[in-house]
Amino acid sequence: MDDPSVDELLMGDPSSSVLSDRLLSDQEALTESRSYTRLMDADLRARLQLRRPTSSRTISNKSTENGFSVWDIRNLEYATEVDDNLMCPICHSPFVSPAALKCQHIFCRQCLSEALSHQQDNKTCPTCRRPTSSNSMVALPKVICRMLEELRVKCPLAFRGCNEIIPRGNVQTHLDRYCGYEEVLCPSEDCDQYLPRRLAGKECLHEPLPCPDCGEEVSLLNLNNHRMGSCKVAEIICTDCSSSVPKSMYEDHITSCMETVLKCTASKYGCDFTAKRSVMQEHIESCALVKLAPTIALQNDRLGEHARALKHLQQKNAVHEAFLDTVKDTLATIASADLATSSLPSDSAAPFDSPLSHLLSLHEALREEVSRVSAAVSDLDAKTDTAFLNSSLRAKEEAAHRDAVLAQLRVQLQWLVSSRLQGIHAARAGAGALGISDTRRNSNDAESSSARPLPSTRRGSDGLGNGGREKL
Amino acid sequence: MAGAFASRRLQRELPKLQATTSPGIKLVSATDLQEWLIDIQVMDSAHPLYAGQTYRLRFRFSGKYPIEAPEVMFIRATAASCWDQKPRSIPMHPHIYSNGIICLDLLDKAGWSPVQNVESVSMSLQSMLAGNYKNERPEGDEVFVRTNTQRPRDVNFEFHDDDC
Ligand SMILES: [Zn+2]
Ligand SMILES: [Zn+2]
Ligand SMILES: [Zn+2]
Ligand SMILES: [Zn+2]
Ligand SMILES: [Zn+2]
Ligand SMILES: [Zn+2]
Ligand SMILES: [Zn+2]
Repeated sequence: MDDPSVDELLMGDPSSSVLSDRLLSDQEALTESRSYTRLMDADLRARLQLRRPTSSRTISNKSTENGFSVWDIRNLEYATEVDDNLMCPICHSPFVSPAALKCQHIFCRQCLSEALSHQQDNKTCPTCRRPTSSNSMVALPKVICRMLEELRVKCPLAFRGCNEIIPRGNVQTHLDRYCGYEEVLCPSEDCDQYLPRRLAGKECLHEPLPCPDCGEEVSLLNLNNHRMGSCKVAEIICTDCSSSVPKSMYEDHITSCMETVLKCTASKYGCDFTAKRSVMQEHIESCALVKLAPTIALQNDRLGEHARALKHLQQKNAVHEAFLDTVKDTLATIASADLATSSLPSDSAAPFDSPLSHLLSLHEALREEVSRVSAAVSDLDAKTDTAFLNSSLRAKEEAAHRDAVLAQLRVQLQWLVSSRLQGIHAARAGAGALGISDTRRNSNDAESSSARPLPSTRRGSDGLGNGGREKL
Repeated sequence: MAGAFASRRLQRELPKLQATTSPGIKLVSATDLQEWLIDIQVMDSAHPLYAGQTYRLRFRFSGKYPIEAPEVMFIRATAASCWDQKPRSIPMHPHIYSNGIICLDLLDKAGWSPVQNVESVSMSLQSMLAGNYKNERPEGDEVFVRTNTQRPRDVNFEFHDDDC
């Protein structure tokens, strides 16, 4: 990686299977259109010549020096979630030219050789620690490699705006031929600058022209950036109120334009009220769902917490099961090894001529170890099961509790509304006699606090909720 | 190129660690890709040594993580600096020195495997605590703590017993 050859730069990817696949597809394209190919070749050669003086420089991950994108297959962003079974346990990314060991554990070839070279003398599989060696790596079947190269990735130039989603194996082809955001040589004969492929027509876009707003000299390529950035005169028309706003004020305007149509803040909880910003405040003050929103959000949070706890327990369970399998495997290997030694008691060709009794005692010790381990595993299993039961029980209880609280809240709301109505009636009846209506309201309040035990129950339930969370 | 591989791997671990929040394991801080703090608790509420206690682990990653093991140790913290306003101490354990250095083969050069990750190491330490009922420090703790000037990763433990 530190000193890439020209070939590597062109292909971008050192893996040979990808390379050959790509060569094949390249050849097909070649026969399709000879003139186009000749053009491309000329282009590549031109770029290569430009590239040469800098090719000894070390390559940073997304460098685009001289308009020639260099990318790293391990930095690609995947467009869809990739199955966990296709993830390398060392780099936590989908396999890149995977290799398998005798124990059937699979890693990226590069990850595996790095891991093995870091081990001292006795090389072991990073996953199961069975003895192995660097030259016992086996490449996976072609069909699997091809499937991996079919995984959909985002274009490495997504950070410049390219939205293409392409198979992993086609990234270089995409950059070399199609990506509109890759820099290509300016089509003009007299210009040696670069521009994005999507803007490359027949003319040079690098010649300076006066900006229509301020008159400053800007190249056509940068005009848009200039009008959105450094130009001091340009104005932008608001799409909501269609007034023309100076560019520097635009940010403030779009967050306060009274004509902008907004959704109610509780829209995700089911309120489908929409209105212009000028009347929204009025709605928010009266919307029941806005008032309930914090409670609902809290409830959602807790549900999420429980789901996560559940998922974690399932994962733990899977780990235990896998471990149990390894233990069973080891047991089987020991048993077969034991059989082999007892059936061939005088094998003089054996590399280790250790006494049988020693082997037997070793075996006995191992058996003990294994039984201890399996006891521990079953113990853990039991613990996991009870923890799982407890947590789901708690979740059910809490859900029931929350339902009750919600019902109480509804009653309280109704009561508040009716008491407010009563207050309004009273105010109307005693119009002018302010002092009287005030005392009456006070007496109403006193009545409410003595007749309604609601606030205290609510506090109680909150306390219980906090207690549950602290335990987590 | 040093560290790019480590950063990439840690960037992939971070969201998972933030999302799963395994019971008793809590990411406290991961301000950069070099040092993370994790709080762990033993989930056994009847444990005679660790029930109701929270301990703080400090992970330090070299540029060669996960090929190289992270440096992991317990650290102290004052109550004021913790989210639950409780201080962090060094748990009593026959394989944990009173300066927080842990004697665990999993974290040793020879015992480490790159398929381990921050969460799996935290879980291993959690169960290492849960399985211990001895209220003691390793042999020679005082001398070790007084004389050790090495960083934890450079300490060469002679694993004096098999379950170390
Ligand atoms: Zn890998
Ligand atoms: Zn293996
Ligand atoms: Zn693209
Ligand atoms: Zn030009
Ligand atoms: Zn201008
Ligand atoms: Zn407007
Ligand atoms: Zn509403």
